[in-house]
Amino acid sequence: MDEEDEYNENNMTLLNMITLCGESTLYEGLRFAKDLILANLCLRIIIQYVPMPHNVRHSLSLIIGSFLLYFNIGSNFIWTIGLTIGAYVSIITVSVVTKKWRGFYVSVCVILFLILCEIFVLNPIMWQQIRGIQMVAAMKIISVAIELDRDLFKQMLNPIEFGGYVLCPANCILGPWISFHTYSHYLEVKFLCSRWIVIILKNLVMSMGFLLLSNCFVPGYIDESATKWLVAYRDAQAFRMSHYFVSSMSVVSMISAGFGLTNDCHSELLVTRPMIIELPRSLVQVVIYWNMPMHQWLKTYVFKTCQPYGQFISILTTYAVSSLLHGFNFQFSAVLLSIGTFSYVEYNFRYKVASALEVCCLANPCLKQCEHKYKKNSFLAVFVNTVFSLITAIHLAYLGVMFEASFSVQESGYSYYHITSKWENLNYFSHGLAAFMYVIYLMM
Amino acid sequence: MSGPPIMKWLCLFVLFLCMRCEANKPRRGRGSMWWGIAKAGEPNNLSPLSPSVLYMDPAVHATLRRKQRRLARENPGVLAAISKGASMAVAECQHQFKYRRWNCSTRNFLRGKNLFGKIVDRGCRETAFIYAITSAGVTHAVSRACAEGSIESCTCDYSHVDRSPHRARAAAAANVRVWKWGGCSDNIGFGFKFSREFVDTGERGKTLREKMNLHNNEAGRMHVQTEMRQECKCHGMSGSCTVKTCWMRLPTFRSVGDALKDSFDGASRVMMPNTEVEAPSQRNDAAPHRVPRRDRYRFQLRPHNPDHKTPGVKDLVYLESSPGFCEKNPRLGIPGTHGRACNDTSIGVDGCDLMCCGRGYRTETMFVVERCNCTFHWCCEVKCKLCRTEKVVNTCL
Repeated sequence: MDEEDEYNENNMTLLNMITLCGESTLYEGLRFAKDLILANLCLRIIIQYVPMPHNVRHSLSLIIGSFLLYFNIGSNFIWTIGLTIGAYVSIITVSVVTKKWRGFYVSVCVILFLILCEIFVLNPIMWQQIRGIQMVAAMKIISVAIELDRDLFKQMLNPIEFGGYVLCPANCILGPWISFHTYSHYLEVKFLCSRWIVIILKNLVMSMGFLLLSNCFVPGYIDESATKWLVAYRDAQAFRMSHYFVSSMSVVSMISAGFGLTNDCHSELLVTRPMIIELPRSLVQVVIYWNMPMHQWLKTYVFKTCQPYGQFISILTTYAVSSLLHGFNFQFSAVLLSIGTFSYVEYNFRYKVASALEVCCLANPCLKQCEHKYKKNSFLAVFVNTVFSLITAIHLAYLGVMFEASFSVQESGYSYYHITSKWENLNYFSHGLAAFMYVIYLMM
Repeated sequence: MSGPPIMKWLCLFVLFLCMRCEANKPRRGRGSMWWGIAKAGEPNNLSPLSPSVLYMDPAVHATLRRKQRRLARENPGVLAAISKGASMAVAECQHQFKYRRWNCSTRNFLRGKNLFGKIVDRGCRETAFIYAITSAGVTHAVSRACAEGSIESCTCDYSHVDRSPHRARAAAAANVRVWKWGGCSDNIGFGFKFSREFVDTGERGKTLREKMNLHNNEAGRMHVQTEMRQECKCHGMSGSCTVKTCWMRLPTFRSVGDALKDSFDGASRVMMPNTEVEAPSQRNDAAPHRVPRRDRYRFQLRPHNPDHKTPGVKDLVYLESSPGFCEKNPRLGIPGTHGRACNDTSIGVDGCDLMCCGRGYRTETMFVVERCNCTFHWCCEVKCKLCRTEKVVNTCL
């Protein structure tokens, strides 16, 4: 009798979760999407039907973007506006002195501004709310400064162009980052097709699906009393679903502004690849496909800029910049540094294994013809790759469990203690595994 | 089930006729008679309770007051929820008091008799708990049924306008920020209001005993409401919190029961407040004769011991000390602890010394077949084996 009671209770919480959680989650998700889509449709329709000179278009983007920011984060939007104005002023000022180091100085200024904001000015809840927005703005600003150094602009951008680019409603809230030239191109281009609506709806449905998965279904499908690795996998997966939601929602906002469409009206925008991350080949692949525009940004503006100073320095700078952009906190530094070392070890280890066993099992799949004896469909290759996939899934659970937290923690930022307790609970397994693989790699 | 509409109307008409004749009879039963609904569905337990079955059941009708019947008629589907809530409350009460001298036993359901027996005639702690848990059960079950969409008249409140004060108060008590609401999970509001209408029928709040019942009913509802948790999750670029999504989650009824049991242990004994003298003078200006409905809940009970603090909304209150539950007492409907199982190693109330009130106990060894080695199968099934185990059973003499 008693057991039956327990059983019913379990069943009830599942039902509870679906009916109670699903409906309000969907409602709030759609409410958020509504503003985003309306603002961007507004931008696109005006551009499409009202002929306007160049600068007016940019100022339209600036104005709609500012309104959208205001409606989403309230008065905190002055921090983004402030960052934009400050960055523009400092680009002009630095331009007087030097034409070659603008990118470096502006990057330092922007990152310093973000760190100072976080430490001294803003309360943690507010910072967590605007962190993502500031990050996208910072990436845009730095990319403009570096492109100025590389002489990719005919003349210095005027404030309206700059403001329109940074505050563009299509990507000022959830990203993704796009370069100034892409932005400018999409703003000029005119198109009309019915597929457009279909693409928006498709992405909207997808993002709502991911939102439901993240909020309601994934947290419920493995019981709390299961082994800690299963629980960690579940929590990490809920976080990944949240990321897919954000990514597909950003695609929705881009597409509804008409950004990211080819001339024959197909979406050329790819932000993340859920399938590659959920069934990962390697950690390297996860890093690449997690947020493709961001990956590209890091590669183009940080890695390539630092390449003259040597491989090691450029890799280190890339990780430093990417964790500083996420804000000055131990959690991201720890996670990113771990990803960095894990993927480095994995990359080298798989290279050794591939050459020793002559199997196609490199971290990245061979493009066309691989020179190994056992091709990718051979049994040995499939087996080895499956083992590596499993290891990657474990790494992902280990790294992603960090982002599972009570709402108050999510809202106000993660502490040092939070991280160590989460990883201690899993006995620092992944770090141990990586170290073990590195030792074998050295011995091979 | 899905008969022609004319049948449905006929049923309603017959129901209406019944009600008319019932209404002509003199007032029967107390406000708490509706508890019987917990057992009403039992004989045909195999089929799920459908509203129409409950409508027809004369046993159900006997238990309900005129206003309660009206409420059930106006809110199709609610009767099944109430029945579920009541049986949930009985089960929870029996779980919470499994190892105490009073074990929340229920009588056979007979027309005109009270489900919990004559103990409710006394204003003691146990009675306070019964009122609170049953009221909580109805609130919980109706809220849930509403969220699941099985009550037609309960609609989701998307307007955010109707923000009743008790909700804000509950939010403040639970120390959660009042969130701008959307979505259907807000149905606790419906459950709360409905429970006030349904459960508190007949408790006019005139006598002290009625005030006690009202207070305890309200305490049960408040427990459900404050145990209700708001859950939120952040979404945004790389774990930031650009988008927040929140939803409410009803507590499990077990946690409500646990909280109420705590209140039972810390219940306060109250007496007639001396504000009773002032209260009518205040009311005199507005409504001289009738107590306004809302004011029914606006009273303050005074603790029996002036040194104790006044009872809060979530505290249980009682008027008189509990009778001894050791010996059979037909006048109070107490069966006594003869034949109850007890634990010979415990020194608590479940221990044989206290449970058997010093009469001693009998020890027997017997074989029981029970479920064991239960495993959870994904998803969502529990499979068990049957094991034969030896058990030592102590029963009070």
